[in-house]
Amino acid sequence: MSTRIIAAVQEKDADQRPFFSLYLKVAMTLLLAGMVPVLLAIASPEPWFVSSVVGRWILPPLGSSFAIGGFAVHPYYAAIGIIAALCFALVMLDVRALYMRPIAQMRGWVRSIRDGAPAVMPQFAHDEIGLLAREVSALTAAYMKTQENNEDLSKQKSLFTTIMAHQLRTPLTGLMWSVEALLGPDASDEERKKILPDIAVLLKRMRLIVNHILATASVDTGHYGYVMQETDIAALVQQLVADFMPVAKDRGLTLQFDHPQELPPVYADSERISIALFDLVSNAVDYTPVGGAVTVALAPGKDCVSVSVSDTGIGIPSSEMPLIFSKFYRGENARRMRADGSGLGLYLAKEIITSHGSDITVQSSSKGSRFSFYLSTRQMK
Amino acid sequence: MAKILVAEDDTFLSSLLVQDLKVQGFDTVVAFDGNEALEKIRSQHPDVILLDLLMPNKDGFSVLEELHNANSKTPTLILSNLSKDSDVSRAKSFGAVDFMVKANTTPHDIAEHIKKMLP
Repeated sequence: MSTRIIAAVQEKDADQRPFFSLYLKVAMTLLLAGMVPVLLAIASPEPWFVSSVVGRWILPPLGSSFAIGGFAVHPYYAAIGIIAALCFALVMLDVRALYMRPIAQMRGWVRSIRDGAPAVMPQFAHDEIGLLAREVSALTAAYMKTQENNEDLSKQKSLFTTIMAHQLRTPLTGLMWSVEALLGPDASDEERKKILPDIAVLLKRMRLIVNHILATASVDTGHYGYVMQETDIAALVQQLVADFMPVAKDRGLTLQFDHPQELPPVYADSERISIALFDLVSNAVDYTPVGGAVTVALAPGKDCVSVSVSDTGIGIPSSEMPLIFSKFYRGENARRMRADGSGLGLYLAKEIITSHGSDITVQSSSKGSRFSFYLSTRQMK
Repeated sequence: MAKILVAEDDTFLSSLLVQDLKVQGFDTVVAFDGNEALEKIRSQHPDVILLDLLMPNKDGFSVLEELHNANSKTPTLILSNLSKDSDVSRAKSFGAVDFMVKANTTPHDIAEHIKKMLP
């Protein structure tokens, strides 16, 4: 349990100090019990006391003793004895009511919490035991919340592992099957040559998945660092577009790069921003049907360069718009178009872009989507 | 010559599988999504269906369910990278004869398995 929660509980209780504190009850009890020896001391026949006015008034004449079973009993001391016994009985009753019963109640309550039974806190007085009970209640609530968080975390980890393992299995299957085909006695040299570029594609897919896993893990633990430096964004996008060109051609898409001749350098982590742009362009290429177009555009703005990736793809339904940047989320129509996909690309892209000080905005309809953001030309403080 | 329908959305895996099945002496028909698979099952009457589960447009579970509801007798072998017990039992409850995990098998093993399934 965090110290913050404990502090909060104490602060809350400070306003509700017990009205009739246990301290007071204990003091009264002690006073009552203490009266017995005090009275006895007062009653002891010290010469100075016996001869005093008070002594003469309090102490009865010695001659008034009576006998019980052969013992001489002075009625005054008998009365004090009876009062003392009554006081003791009252104290015991009070102790029982004040301490023993609530403690037994609390023990039963704590045991039921331990056993996982529904445990409603019994009614305790507004005294120290009541305060302790409320502390136990707060502790239990905090513990249960931690337990729930741990369970959630464990489920998330398990989901992450399952999805990632499945993602890796797909290219792994391709690699295993192609290696079997390469090694098979029936394969011709021509077939072998044909398979090798496919193996290279599969390896790149695996590398991308592994990089996504590592990046997501770093983001989750807050260790995804950035090295901001002057970056030629046009050159970076040019390279990215060139890398995607064969895939786009293969899928019957037009891939364009629109940018003015002169652009100021931006301050960015070129490696990270490449990952974000890769994911955006990769989505655009993956979810645009044959004959469509994907355009990456750069335009100068005030102290910034705006970047956009637009496509003539299947679009994002407005109901799914708030979810697209969530980890593992894949849209219904995205799943229909491509069964695989990690659901991490946009999650990482948003993380990277917001870390560069920009929002990522999305416009989408059934005719296509446009993702845009900006990169600052000024060094971020 | 037995006719095998290969319903698999990954074109590369599909081509490798078809290549091997042909070498093993099977006739093959390919489908790249669930709708195409159902259409080809109806029009081409394959002897065995090799069915992937995660496919675009209509997934393998929906295909299985439709075949099950239509009382199809064509033996169906699930070939998927899903491997959770719940997925296996769901597929089998819809009448799948067997379940093979793609990453844990090879086209050669699949062909051998199909031979055992044929009457």
